[in-house]
Amino acid sequence: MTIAVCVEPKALGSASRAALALARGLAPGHDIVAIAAGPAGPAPALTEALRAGVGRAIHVADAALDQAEFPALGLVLAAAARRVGASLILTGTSSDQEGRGVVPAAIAHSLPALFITGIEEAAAAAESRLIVRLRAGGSRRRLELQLPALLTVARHARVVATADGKSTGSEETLTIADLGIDAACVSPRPGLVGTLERSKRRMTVAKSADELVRRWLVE
Amino acid sequence: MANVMVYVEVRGGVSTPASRFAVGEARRVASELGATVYALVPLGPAGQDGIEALAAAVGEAGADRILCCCDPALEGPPLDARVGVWVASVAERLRPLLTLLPSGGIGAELGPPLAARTGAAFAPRAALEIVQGARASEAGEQPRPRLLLRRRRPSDGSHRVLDARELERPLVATLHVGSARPAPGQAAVEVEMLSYVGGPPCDLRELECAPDPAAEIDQASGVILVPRGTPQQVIESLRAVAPGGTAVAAADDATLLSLETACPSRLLVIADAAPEALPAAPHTRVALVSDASDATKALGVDTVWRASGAGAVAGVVQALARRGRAKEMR
Repeated sequence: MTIAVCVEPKALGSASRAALALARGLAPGHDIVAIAAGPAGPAPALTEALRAGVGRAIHVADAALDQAEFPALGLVLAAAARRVGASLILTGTSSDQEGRGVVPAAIAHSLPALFITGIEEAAAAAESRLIVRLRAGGSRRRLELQLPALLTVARHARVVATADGKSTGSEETLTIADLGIDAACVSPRPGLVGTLERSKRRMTVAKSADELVRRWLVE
Repeated sequence: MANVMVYVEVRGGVSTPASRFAVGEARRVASELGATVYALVPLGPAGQDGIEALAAAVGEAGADRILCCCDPALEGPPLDARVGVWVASVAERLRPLLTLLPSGGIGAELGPPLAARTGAAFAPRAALEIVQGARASEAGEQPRPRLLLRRRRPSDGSHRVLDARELERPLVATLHVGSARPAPGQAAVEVEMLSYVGGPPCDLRELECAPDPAAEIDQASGVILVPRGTPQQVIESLRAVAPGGTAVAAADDATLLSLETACPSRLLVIADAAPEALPAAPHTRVALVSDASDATKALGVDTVWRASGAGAVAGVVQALARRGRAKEMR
């Protein structure tokens, strides 16, 4: 089985780290490929993924991805996952930057693949099958699923995977043309993110527990 | 006329508090925009009495119409694989300006795939704002109310604002859990039964289902987080004096996992219990009790009280008790 772990190119978020750790926990015997997509430039997150024990990294670096929104990133990452023959795609639940968690759904939509969020544990079952734990609908659940699937991994997932910090894998850089994607398909749609405003709220230091509670409870 | 669609999560045959709050928020903005509120209620096999009871609660919360689907395929965990294509099919029919999902894991599970399927923008933990009378779109045209969605970026606490009119595409959002408010709607509301629409067959089996000890957290309008290892007796004393709808929990693994998808209106974090990512909407009121100098940097904290140790928890318990007594006397 090939496991693709899709990460942010610039810096690994806490949920992406959990996804990488969960992938490494599912190995041995499986290939793990870290994939990132973005505008041209370095991808330190992939270097970190290689140091964390991932065997191969793919950086889809293309000027056309500057300001690309989630549908475009989903399309590109799905194409890269297909290229490496991944049947299991792992991501973090959401990035530390925007925190929307919408790119994983776009990848699953483009593949297409089963999409499940907030995985806490996973174990390989029979051929092309996986057993996962998650919380849903007020219950803790254990599910068995058939691959292909895209699973997002919770930040606080209990995953145990160790790495010696030495990078032995290789990084490959691709363009969207290498993946057979036309630049017109990934044209920027910045309106999907919205405009940015500075928060006007400022922190107050309470002199007592009573003041803290009064300020906390004010509607 | 514009439509607003709300997904109603049902647990144990009852709509969740977060879902009823989402319906109430839909009612609030729909009344300003002149829109109709459609509540989607997916169920496993259910009797007429159960459906009527659910419909009454959702109608009282503010829905104009209820679209219900009872099908064995909807039993079990509310996952995109089971519910997503049905929700998208209803969205295809209604073409809603705005689709709302309640706080909790359901929003993270169903919201992003719905946005991907329908080409919508997605805003998690959003606050809905109506701006009155600003920006008449054309010369001579009466200014109309505008819907803004505001959400908080976890990285720096700044806000992203989406303007429904400028976006010219549908919006999908998840909300926080607010305090219960007087029911704005009516119990007698029209219920339309819909057929189930599923996606491609998927081999997904539930092997085990057990109660989640932290399930109350994603339905709570307030959360008090105490340090891991806090004695149960102390937690109970906080529960006894906390405002209604407030969950009190130690920052253990189960709590932190639930907080990843929760979004309370009020969050009080005591001492070293602070999670890395704050589960906050733009107007979530965040208070912190800590004497660490750097404790406030990453959180977007509104109020901090410099205290630590057992005295910090005891101080909060006493202050909440005094406030409760003062409220009773009023």
